[in-house]
Amino acid sequence: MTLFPLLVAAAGGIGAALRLALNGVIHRRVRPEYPIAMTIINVSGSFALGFLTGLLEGRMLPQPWAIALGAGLVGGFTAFSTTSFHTLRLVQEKRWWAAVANSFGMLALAVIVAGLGLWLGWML
Amino acid sequence: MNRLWRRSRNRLPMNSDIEVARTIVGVPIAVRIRPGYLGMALLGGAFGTLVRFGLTLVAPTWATLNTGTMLVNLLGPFLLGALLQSLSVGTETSRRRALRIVVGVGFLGALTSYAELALDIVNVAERGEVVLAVTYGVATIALGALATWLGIFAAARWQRHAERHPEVPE
Repeated sequence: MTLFPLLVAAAGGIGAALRLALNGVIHRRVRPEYPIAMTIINVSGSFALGFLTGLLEGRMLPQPWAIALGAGLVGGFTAFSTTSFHTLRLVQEKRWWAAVANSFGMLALAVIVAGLGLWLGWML
Repeated sequence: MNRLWRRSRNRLPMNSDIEVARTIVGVPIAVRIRPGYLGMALLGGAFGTLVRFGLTLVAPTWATLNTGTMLVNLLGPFLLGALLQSLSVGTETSRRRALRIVVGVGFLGALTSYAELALDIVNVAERGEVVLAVTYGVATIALGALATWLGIFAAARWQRHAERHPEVPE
């Protein structure tokens, strides 16, 4: 059990590598002016964490699994620092609507899908 | 202050995880992801996750909000801004590329967690404290952007100091 934090850390490392890979793939395909990849990553990650927590509360998933996948994999996958940086860069370039979408829009969407995931996991 | 804002605007990339601003013309160039880069992100991400996990365990909970999550979501953007600003001047070498990926993408990305922020807000809203939920969301976004800017500002100040007082070569 003392090795458990290392398992969480390894899962988080995998999540971070997945984030970089997905970022690279999306940006090579579409080359967007807007950092759309991080929206996809953060919103899908929020849904996943909600779902895992719902499963945990419904006793469908043992706690160590929920922590390794939730705090580890999903925590490493999503990133608030990168998104804050993108928001600031959009503000610097005076792309106000893009900045609002990347900050408040993304968080509103993430909260909604996290709630949805929580409910779905709990219902199962 | 204003000049500093313009300078950082010209030199910093937009999609920071996969772009590097070309120093001479300021045009961002996308980095091709190699398998080795994924390994670097994994290494940094594992450390970042370990620190966040440890912090969220020991940090006290305030009104069902984890203060550990709050702390990392302020610290992460500050350090990322400082890192990317420090790396924005000079030639891009493989060592600097590694620093971007291990620390910027891996460690600082995994140190912060967007999903935990979203779920914390859901939990607070579920208890009927809608005002607190909205305030927490808006405050985290605003403070995160402010922390990024402070990080950029601090690193830029340090760079100017280093320019004016170059170390005497031995």
